[in-house]
Amino acid sequence: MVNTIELSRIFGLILARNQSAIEASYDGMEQSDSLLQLPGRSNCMNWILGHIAVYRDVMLLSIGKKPYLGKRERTLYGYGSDPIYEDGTCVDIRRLTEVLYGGHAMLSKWLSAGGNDFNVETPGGLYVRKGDTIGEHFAHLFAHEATHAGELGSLREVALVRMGKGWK
Amino acid sequence: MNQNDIFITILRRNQESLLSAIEGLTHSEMLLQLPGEGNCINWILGHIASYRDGMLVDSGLSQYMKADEIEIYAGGSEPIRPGDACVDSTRLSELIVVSFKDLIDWMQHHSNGLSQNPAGNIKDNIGYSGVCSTLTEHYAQNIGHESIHIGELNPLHELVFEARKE
Repeated sequence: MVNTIELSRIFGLILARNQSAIEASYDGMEQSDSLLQLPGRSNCMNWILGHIAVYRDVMLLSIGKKPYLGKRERTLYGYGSDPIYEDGTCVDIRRLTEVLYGGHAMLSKWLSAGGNDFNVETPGGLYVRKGDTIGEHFAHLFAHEATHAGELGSLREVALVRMGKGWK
Repeated sequence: MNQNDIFITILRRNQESLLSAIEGLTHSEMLLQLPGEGNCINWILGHIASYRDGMLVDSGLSQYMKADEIEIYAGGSEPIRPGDACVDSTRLSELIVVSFKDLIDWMQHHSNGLSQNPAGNIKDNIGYSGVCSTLTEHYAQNIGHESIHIGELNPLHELVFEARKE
């Protein structure tokens, strides 16, 4: 049981870090800010937030919870989906941030409740399945969302430069 | 699946993404800046390397960076612009490789190692040394921290390829 508590704490700390970085990036951003582009083939903030939301839903489904996004939204933001540009179809940033907030709250609650077995087999039929056990699956998914959260910082900077403001 | 397995899985992902982002880049390319107050690749590499040194010290191993190098890349340090003092990117890339190897080796050979108290002195203050009460917490904070910084490398990598077209 000690090991289970330790793994819950580890995932809880990483999730909290990720959510904090995500919230710091979109604070004060409008829909149009979320569609700004960086040089090259990077994605905009809107796509990244939606992409993280899709993978958060996978984590929720993995522990038997209901997902937030529908099939159409998952298609827009799933792996390999097209970049989103200013005139493209996308979800409003307010909905995306609500989904991320809700997913974070549900996962945090589950992790802090204790008694979770991370050695159980990851369910089949998920949109993505990153490991045979929930522990391995979650390790990949939390690291995946962390790297995407890291991409948000420079996109916030672009928006702040357009607004004539500096970082934070 | 124990905490060592979790950390090894994430650290390997981090290392793979990091090496992919810097492959083939020159030192001067690693100093390119995006608009705003973000950091360049060189700073991010040095920052990650210094925080990995903190994990090494807390695990009872030796650090690689010198005190004056750590100062350049510590948390809250100034962004590095072309012409500023910095460590050559080749050395930083080598530090990233050796620190990864040491950390993976240590976790693979010390199955209960993360249950011990941090070995570093609070005065070391490298990365999360001194601010985490357990080694597990230090590893969780630090590995989560570097995952986010590694994400910052992707748009900088794209910037280099755009600059090469000019």
